[in-house]
Amino acid sequence: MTQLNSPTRQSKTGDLLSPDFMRQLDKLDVMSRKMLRGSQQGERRTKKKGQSVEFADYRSYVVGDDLRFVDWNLYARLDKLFIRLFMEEEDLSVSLVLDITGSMDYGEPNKLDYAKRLIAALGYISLTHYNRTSVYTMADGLLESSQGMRGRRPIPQMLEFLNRQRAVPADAQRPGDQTAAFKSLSIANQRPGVIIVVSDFWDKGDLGEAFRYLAGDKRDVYLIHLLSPQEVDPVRGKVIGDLRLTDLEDGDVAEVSVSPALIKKYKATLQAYCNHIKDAAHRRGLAYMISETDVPFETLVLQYLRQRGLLA
Amino acid sequence: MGFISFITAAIAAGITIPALVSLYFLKLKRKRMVIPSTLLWQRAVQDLQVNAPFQKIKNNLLLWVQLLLLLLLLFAMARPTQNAMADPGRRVVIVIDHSASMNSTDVDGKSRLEAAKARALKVIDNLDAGEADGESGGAMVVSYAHRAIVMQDFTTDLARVRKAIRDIQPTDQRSHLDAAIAAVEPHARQSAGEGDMFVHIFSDGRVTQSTDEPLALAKADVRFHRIGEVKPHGNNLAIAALSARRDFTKPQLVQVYARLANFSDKPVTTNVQFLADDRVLSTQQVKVPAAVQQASAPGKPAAPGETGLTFDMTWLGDALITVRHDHPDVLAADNAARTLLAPSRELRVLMVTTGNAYLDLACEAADVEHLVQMAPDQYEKQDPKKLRRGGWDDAAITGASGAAGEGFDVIIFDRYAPKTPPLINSLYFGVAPPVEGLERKDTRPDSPSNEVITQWDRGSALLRNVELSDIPLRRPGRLIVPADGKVLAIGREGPVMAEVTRDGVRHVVVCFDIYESLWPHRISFPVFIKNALPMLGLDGSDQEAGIAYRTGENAVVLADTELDRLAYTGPRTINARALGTTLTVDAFPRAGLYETKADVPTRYKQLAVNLLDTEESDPRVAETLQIGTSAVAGTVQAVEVRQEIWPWFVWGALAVLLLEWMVYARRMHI
Repeated sequence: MTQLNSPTRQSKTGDLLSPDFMRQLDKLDVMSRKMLRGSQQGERRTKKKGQSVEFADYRSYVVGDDLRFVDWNLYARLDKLFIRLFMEEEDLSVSLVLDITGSMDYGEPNKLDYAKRLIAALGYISLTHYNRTSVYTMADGLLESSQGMRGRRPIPQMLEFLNRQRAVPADAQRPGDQTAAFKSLSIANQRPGVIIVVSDFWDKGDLGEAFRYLAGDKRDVYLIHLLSPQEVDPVRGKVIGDLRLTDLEDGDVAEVSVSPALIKKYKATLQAYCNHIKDAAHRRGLAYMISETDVPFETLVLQYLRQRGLLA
Repeated sequence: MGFISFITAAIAAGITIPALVSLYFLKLKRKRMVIPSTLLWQRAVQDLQVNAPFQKIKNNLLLWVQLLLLLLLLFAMARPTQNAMADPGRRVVIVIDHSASMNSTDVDGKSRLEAAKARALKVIDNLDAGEADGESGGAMVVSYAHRAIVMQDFTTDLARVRKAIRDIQPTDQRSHLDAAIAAVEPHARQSAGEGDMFVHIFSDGRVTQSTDEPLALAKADVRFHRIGEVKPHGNNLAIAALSARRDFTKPQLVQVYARLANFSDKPVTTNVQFLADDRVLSTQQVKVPAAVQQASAPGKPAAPGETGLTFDMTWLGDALITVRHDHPDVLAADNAARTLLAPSRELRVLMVTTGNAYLDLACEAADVEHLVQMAPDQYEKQDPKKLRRGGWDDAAITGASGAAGEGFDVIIFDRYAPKTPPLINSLYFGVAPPVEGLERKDTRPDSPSNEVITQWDRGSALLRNVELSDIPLRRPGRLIVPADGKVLAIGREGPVMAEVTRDGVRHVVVCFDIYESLWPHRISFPVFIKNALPMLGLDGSDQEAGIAYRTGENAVVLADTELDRLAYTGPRTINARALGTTLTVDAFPRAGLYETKADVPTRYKQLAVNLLDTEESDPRVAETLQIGTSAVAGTVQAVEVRQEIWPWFVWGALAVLLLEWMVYARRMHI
């Protein structure tokens, strides 16, 4: 049986993030397209008016306001009492979701390894900026999580968590189910914040329905769609001739005679599928970005994600 | 269009087409492979099928190409034909001429025999079609040259008929169509009705009518397939005659004579070589005139231009004399001729007599230097084999002369008939030898005592310049001559002189006693002795000459010891049938030199065989063939032959195979 998924490997902590790369990541922060409420004071502006040094607005004085915030200079000029308002800076909740279905363990470079490194990098960035960071794994639902990490101290814990993750073997009874996974996530994590999902989005269910559980005003969701080069161009994966194809997730079998016409059709279908995910995401207000695993990982993090506004 | 092997192809189609299609319907042995998700593949396959209603067909373009390839091959297997015209229900006789002229290589570079065989096979192909309808009457194959050979008797097994046609070998013999007609005629006579039998004769029309009343094929439908093109001239230069003879008085002098015949319309200049034992003795440049149309016979073909040439040489021993020319022409068999020259020798004669002065004088007049006389009782004591040359033992015989180891060339029996026929050519006076069928009867008592010879064969070499009309004979008696004997002279009561050949030994019988006639007093008597002794003594020739045979002839070999078998190798291996010490060699099929390693006398070690036949050397094709009393016109394409077109289907199949390869390669290569 020909398979492009890599054998299970025991990565060291350093395999996911090199010291040099971590130094480069120090300069980045996870950005949210929305002003989200945090629970603790942090490094992030929020909608909430607070006690930071950054001026936000004025409003008329009402009885009971703290007289320390009255702008006496303005009272001297206008003879009216105004209260000075300042922006509140809070921490950000960042949830990182890693797809570990069987289909992720495929391709060269391997999608799961690539996804783990990406989650590690995003988690590192998030933690270094004192954001409340959680890492989840999903397959036929939410599987494991490492929650409530903040600051640099839990970085090894996060990396250890990621290293431990293995792809779920194919099981016809328990195929990947993103609807169930996102539903569980929305229940488990109701805190406003950024959610980043790294997946190949091979799901035979309705992804539009699944994304419904991610959508919400208090959430800024990024979907990172990972594909291996062999999936984009099956010829590179030697998928040609009369084949009996087995699905890595549910063990489903398809017998096809792969001809140039079918390859062409496959590529068109893949494009349509990606467009469908993108449309479904946009309809729900989710950000969607796609990448192939042959794009150098550093390029993806340092350039591509910055360009797309996820990192700054 | 028709099919020769339709049923075979239909059976093959019934087996192969479902097999091929089922291969596509059966699950292919697919390569197993895992992929992240089958989702898109299933959608892509569905889309392809939904978008194209004939997608199955498109998908299986390879199947269609292969089906087309298979169909083409099946068509080829069915042997499609064009212009079919079979002769169902008829019996067919294939008669093929394989005489010398059929070896002419003037039919598209092939010999006429090969062309004839090819056309005969096409006729058999037509029979194939008839057989497919279950109506073929079978076929028979006869080849003919000097004799006719039934290569295959009537059979419906056409494979055997084809093999028989292919097995026909070329010969250099003369063509005797009568022999073939005689072989076919009994079958024609037994035919059910008119047109029941078809006789296809494949020949160039150069045939010899050997009988005065040619046989006819009354009930058969005869078709003459003329092989070759009818032209007034032909490109062939033939050696038409060859002889070599020693001078009678000076036997070491040999004169070789050859005659060349030119059948083309242009004079031919060529080099003629004379060889003795493969050594070139002389090369002469000869110009042979062109064939000329006889003014007296304007309708007949032009007579060949001829030139004779001689070569004198001094040669004491035996030699193989070869004459050949180097002019390129269509027939090779007549470009060389050979003859075997025996060593010079003097005639040795044994006379078995009680004394005959006339014969003594006549032998002296005939320059016989070695004459041995022997009384009848002494003769009977001799071993007949030892009397032949090489077997003479002078110590055993009184009054013998001559060197030991020699023998006699001829025996004269004077009024004494030996008890057993001698093994040497003999001359008898007053008696008849004990040869089957030959008998001497005394003159009837009531007949007149005096007789004369009323008639004699003036053409015989024995009686050349012999005048017998004025010789009175007293009670000469008469001879009863067997059917194969030759009467030389006839008296009032019957033959008085005859020649009979038994087992290769010639017996010339004069039935009267010369003392009872006035013949010895006539000049014709010593002339007869001078004619007869060299002719009988020196291998049948009147002078010592080269010995050669013609193709189609049989040679008789006289061996010293009894041989079980005798084989000669040469252009073809031939065998001799043994009867005691006499062996008859099969008819020579081809011209050339035949040799044997068997223990036979030196003169039989080699046998030279030549064509020397202007009829067969003539390369011109005859327009008609005389069969019975009617002339059958030749046709170039006698029957409308089913032309098989299966090669086109095979070529088409090859092209489709190429297409199939391209389709497959395109599928498997992105």
